Amino acid sequence: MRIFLLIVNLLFGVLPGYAQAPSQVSGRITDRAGEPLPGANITVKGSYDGSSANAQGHFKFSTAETGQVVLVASFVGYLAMEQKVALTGLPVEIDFKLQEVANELNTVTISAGAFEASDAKKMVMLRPRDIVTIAGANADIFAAIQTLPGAQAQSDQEGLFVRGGAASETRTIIDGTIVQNPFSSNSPDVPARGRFSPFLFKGTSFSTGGYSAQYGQALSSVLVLNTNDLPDSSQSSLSLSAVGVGGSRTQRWAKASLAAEVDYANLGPLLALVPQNVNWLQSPKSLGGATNFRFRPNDRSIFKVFGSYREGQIGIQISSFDNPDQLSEFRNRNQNLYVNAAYEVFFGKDQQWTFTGGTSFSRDLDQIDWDVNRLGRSEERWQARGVISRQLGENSNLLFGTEIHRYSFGNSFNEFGYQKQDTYAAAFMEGDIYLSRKLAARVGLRGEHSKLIGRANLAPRLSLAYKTGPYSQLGLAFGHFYQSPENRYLFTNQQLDFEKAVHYIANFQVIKTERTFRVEAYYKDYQQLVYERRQTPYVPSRFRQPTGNTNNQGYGYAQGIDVFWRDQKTVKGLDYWVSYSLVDTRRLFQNYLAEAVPTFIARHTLSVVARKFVSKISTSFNASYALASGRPYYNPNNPEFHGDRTPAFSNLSLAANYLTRIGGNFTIVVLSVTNVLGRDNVFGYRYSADGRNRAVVGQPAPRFFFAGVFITLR
Amino acid sequence: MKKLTMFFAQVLILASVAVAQQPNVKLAAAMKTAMAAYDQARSPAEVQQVANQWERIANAEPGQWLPAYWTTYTYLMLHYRSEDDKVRETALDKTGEWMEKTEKMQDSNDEVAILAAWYYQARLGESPATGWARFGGKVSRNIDKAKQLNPENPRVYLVEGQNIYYTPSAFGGGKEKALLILKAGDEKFAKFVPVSDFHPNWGKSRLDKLITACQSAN
Repeated sequence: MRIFLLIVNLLFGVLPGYAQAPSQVSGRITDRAGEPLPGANITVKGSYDGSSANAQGHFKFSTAETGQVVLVASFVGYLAMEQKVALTGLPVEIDFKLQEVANELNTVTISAGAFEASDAKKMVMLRPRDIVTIAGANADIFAAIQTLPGAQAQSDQEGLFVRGGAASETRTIIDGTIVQNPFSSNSPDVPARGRFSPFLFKGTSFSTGGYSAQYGQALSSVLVLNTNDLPDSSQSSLSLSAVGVGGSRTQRWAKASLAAEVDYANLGPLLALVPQNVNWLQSPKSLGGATNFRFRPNDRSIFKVFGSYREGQIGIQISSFDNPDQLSEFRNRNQNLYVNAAYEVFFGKDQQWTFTGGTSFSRDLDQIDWDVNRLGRSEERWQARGVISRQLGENSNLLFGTEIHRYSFGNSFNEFGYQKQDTYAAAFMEGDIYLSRKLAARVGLRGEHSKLIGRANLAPRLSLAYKTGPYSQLGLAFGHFYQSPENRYLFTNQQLDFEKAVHYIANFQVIKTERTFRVEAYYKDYQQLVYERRQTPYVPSRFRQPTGNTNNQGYGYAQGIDVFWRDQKTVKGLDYWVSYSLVDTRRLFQNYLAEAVPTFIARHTLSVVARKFVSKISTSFNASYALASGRPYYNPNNPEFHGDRTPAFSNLSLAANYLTRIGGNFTIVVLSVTNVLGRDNVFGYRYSADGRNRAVVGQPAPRFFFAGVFITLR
Repeated sequence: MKKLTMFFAQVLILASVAVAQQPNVKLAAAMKTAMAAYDQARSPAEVQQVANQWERIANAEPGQWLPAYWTTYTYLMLHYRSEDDKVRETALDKTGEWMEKTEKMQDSNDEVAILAAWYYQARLGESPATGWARFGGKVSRNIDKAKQLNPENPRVYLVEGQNIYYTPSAFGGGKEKALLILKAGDEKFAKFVPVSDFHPNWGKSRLDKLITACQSAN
């Protein structure tokens, strides 16, 4: 009986796979070019048996597995490869040639026209943090973007003026939907800040043209912002600065997070300290709050809600548009509400399908008192959007989407009021097609319809990219872009057509980890621009309400070259970038008297941004310098329309960020000075009707100072 | 009759035990070999071989967290031991890949959280300038989590102390503060008993080295 037990024991316990002698497996693992891959792993699938490739790529092992088995060769950065073999106890010899996984070095990216700031990729031109710390930008996304090529360095009005385009030609998009009013309450001659903190976003993509069919209603440019996912941990923060106070609280749970912040800003004390060129009737002040909810039920989906509300006031005395010798009083009270909900889910086999949906609502109200007149401006936009995309193969994908907007807008002037509503709908499809890892095409088509003007359009988009080396690539882009006429024209004329721009772009870029070079040339053909039949006298104010007849007979062009160079290597610890833009543009639109260079265009713009971190004193020193050639202005004495140029613009800004701890809490102390040299920049002149007198439109103050403390409480 | 029944019962029990244990016996043997191989490994190429060995086991045993844990650990060590930038980078990518798999299997395991904290420290170390913003929170979150799950685990204090050691004093780091934490870890090591021979029991010699470094003059 004992013997029997022993046999049972042996059978089940000690001698598995005893039937056959082990098989010897050997061979070589290389890449496609035959170069050895030392350290590559080879295994009999489902078993522990296997080995590693040596320095020459050779491997050899023995296995007790028998019959038909699958051998798997794998190496980091390469696609695993499987081969079936029969193990019979005889030696097996087998070679593997592995293919590299598509990565940023061996695969082209479609990038013509776009500047991307992201943490998710290894090689991008910018990181989100770069945007936050630019000297002079004072953590304003839009001011930071102005240091990039293609954008004008503007200091007298808000907005991004891209490649010859007006500010109204750039759209800001958060999580897929358009933000109706991304700037805080504005006033003449003074640029307003962006409403949104740069810390809200994990990725920023600034397109200077030729952008995706996913976006419309922008003739020149889109700024696409994607909000953060769940924060790492719960925390609170406090900020105390020369311009206001603020606080926030973020609560993190396993699958969700909720954040709320509130801030009060008042430039009054600072403006009282620093001599001002203008008389502030109401120093800019605002009270606002934002809340942020994130829910990630599993790793395939995320749901985000963002809401913000802000009330602001500003009052300024400026030279009158009618008579520059007189002062005119302008006051604005602004209320802005913005709510955005977005949902993203991956589904299907291998999760190759993605659905992203979103809805947003924004409402913006301006109540303006301008001397004896009372002006009102209101805008409301509700949007819904859905996009479905499918991954095809390694890199390619195809997407379809649709969006619908209800947009109502109104203007009032004393007792007169206008109110209009539009229903705008769009559908789009786009394919990223990788013909090989070196050659890719993005083909898109977007169709739009506006109920108010009763017009539809069809906009083709095409972008090509070809990889010329491990770090370099060439790109081409072409596209049609449409935009509804400005509100102020739609009140009086609903027969207008969309305005149109056609973009042609060619670019070349070299991106290495610590050095980036990029040059882009473009030609832009403006068509169907809104044009007002000639009126006299000519009124240069951008705030006037046009009353005459309008049509779509305006036109224009813009062409130029943008250059970008970033270097984090040459001088240790120093990171700098240089942008240069040349733009040659003329147009006939709005109430222009002749085809001319618009007043918002500087032909040459140079921008240098540098930063150095001195770890000994935990301080980062940042500098930025902008130089722009003079801009045209209207002079009634000059027979040539826009025949005069202002002096060149320049601005040197410095900032220091000192990192420390206060009571164990991470703290940043920021000091910054904008326009350190106190250069007296002139943005234009305002002439009296008879052309005899003029007033300078300049900076509200020669310098702007900022000091603040930001504390993160854990 | 009774004897015969007993006999069959005994056979059945033995057989089922043998069948049930067989994979574990095999797994245990494979893990033992891999652990011995790691102790023998000197060059980065040898560490890579051990990582491969662990990865083979982990791939063949998708339900077992220990092989996945050791694969992660070995790749992290390869990252630190190699001087070739490409190897360091790819090893860290591999660490991340296996870290994720391990975390999925063991959501609330102090050892896994400790390894995750160290992994994010390594990520942070790769890009000190931008790393703090991206990984700093993940490091401290995992240290806190591990401490909450098991305050007696000495490796929590090793990783926490190491974190403080490499943080400039301006940011609340420095040798003095690190030393306090590391000494706490030293006491915990004296009392620590691993669950089995295959469970994590590393870190004592690294802790000793760090304590010496903290005590040395600045």
